[in-house]
Amino acid sequence: MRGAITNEPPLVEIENLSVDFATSRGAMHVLRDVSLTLAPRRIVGLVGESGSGKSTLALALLGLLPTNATGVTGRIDLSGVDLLSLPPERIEALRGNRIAMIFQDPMTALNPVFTLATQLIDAQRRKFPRLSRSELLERAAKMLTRVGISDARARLSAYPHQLSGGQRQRVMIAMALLCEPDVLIADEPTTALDVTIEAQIVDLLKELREEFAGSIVFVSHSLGLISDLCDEVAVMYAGKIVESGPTAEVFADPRHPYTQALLACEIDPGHDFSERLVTIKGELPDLVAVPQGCIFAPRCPSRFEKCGTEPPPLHVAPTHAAACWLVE
Amino acid sequence: MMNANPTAEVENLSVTFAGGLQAVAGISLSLAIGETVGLVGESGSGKTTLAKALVGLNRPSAGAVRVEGRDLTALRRADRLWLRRRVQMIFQDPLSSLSPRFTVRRLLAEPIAIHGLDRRESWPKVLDLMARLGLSETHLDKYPHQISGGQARRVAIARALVAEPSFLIADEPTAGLDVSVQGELLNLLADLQKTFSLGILMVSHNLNVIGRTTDRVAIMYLGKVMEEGPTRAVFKAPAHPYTQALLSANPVIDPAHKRSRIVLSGEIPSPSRPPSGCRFHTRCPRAQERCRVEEPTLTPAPDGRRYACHFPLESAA
Repeated sequence: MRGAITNEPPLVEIENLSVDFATSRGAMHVLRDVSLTLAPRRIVGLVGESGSGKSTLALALLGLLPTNATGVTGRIDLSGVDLLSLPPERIEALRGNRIAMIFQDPMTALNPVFTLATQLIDAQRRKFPRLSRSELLERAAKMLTRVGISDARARLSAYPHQLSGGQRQRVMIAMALLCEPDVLIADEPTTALDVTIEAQIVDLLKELREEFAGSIVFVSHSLGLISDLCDEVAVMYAGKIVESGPTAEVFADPRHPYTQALLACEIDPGHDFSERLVTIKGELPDLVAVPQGCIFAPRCPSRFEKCGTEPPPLHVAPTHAAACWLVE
Repeated sequence: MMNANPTAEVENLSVTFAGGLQAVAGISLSLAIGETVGLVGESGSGKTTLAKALVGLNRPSAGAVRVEGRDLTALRRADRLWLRRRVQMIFQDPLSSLSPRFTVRRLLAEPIAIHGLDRRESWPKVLDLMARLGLSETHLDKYPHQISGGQARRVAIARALVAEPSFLIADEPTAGLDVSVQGELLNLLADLQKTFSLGILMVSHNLNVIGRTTDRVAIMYLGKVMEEGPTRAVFKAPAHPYTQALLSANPVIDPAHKRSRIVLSGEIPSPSRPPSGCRFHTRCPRAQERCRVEEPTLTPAPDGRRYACHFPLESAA
């Protein structure tokens, strides 16, 4: 049910996560004070432009932050365990197992020299060490059928290059789901696909939400896709979540000027041709020397004095939360 | 050769690549000065192949490509230069089209030298063009990697316009741009079109961009035009089931989920083995026996559009 409040306990709770990257100019504050809750059977959208930190957040969930990520603070709580305090080998055991990811370009994630059967069996070995090869193969074939690959048994002996882009992405989804993860992170999974194929993958993810007990994090820059697919959305700007809540509420009644501006930038083909297209003036702030006050203030059309001095906390508006002094 | 209303056009154009893949299969389309025509299609539709044929980068295997009345296949070496002055192309990835070893100054001076223009006369125009594009003279001594992606894109546009072309082919000009800046680029192209009365061919898979910025649009599928006509009319009431499916699959912000989507089943067939009859029949929700055997021809409709379908949608009639 869209927009419904689930009473199931959250699978993952991200609390006040901050990540700095070490650069030659000093620490770059890529994520600042990010909190997010992932509940079962929900799709959460992370939306933002380049440099917003949405991919860094996804990588932090996977324990795959780059080595220059220094100064990681906060908590990522996965059923009582703080991912950030785990040693690398324990994180590795969780990856693929409890937290899985599908990437933008499935060709780089699939190994070109192995058949699908080999790769889909290997993916399950750690999770199901007691199952025999033929049992694992059986699971793989069933899952391929489930994600819409016809003639799955024959396809298992195919190599990745023998599949189309859409089929490869289906295989990636199958591979991720075979381990029954708690969290599935999809980072721009349809960007490389044609729009009619994208619609198929989006439909597949919608169907899977009902069957798959985990939670899906959908990272995208496309507001249209997020609106179509996600139950909840977190809008990110320059390393912060500026607005979050049920997708329908956030898009119908955006409270943060950045969300409003982003929605206004979306091109509506039905609009008058003679009108100028809307843009957001200015540039992303320098994340090494983060401005005092609200992160969006330098580009915000509604800023006032307080915005330049004090960063606004996430205020809970009637329907959802926004980090803006105008929402009080 | 003077022409009352100069156009860049293709007539019954086919482009076949080595190995027999027919990427463009008999397409006629024209682009007039001062208008923007959109070319939409998914992978394998042949849109980029068609665009490249207009700049002389792909040779037709049948049919003709004409620019201001002159047939490109008949052009001699010296005339090629003339063609390059008339029709310019900007590519998807601006950085890959700018030599990393040239400064912006040299990149912008190169077209002047190639076309044998008078440098003293042309250089002020280049500086003027840069100012229009929001580039300052401080950028002149920078290398492509030292400027931002948006600036590189503008340098590529400036470079295309130095020779004062009549036609500009823009291949996915907004690909990879954030939404907050894509409007800026499209506004800029609209301004340049007015200033230089350009004919622009906009190749894109982004239906919002095409819908908002073009006067006419051609919807391509596997090397054929499925529907072509005034953008507004086509977007409002598509006649071809493929146009309808494409438009409905385009994700738009719709918090109330009022829109119903048509999700086409199946994959796009390989352009090297296109289906019989109507090329879209394998995925078409309205397909009947006739579609499998008989290929529909482009039929003109009263509102100025053309569509190739045996069973067009009624809403458009």
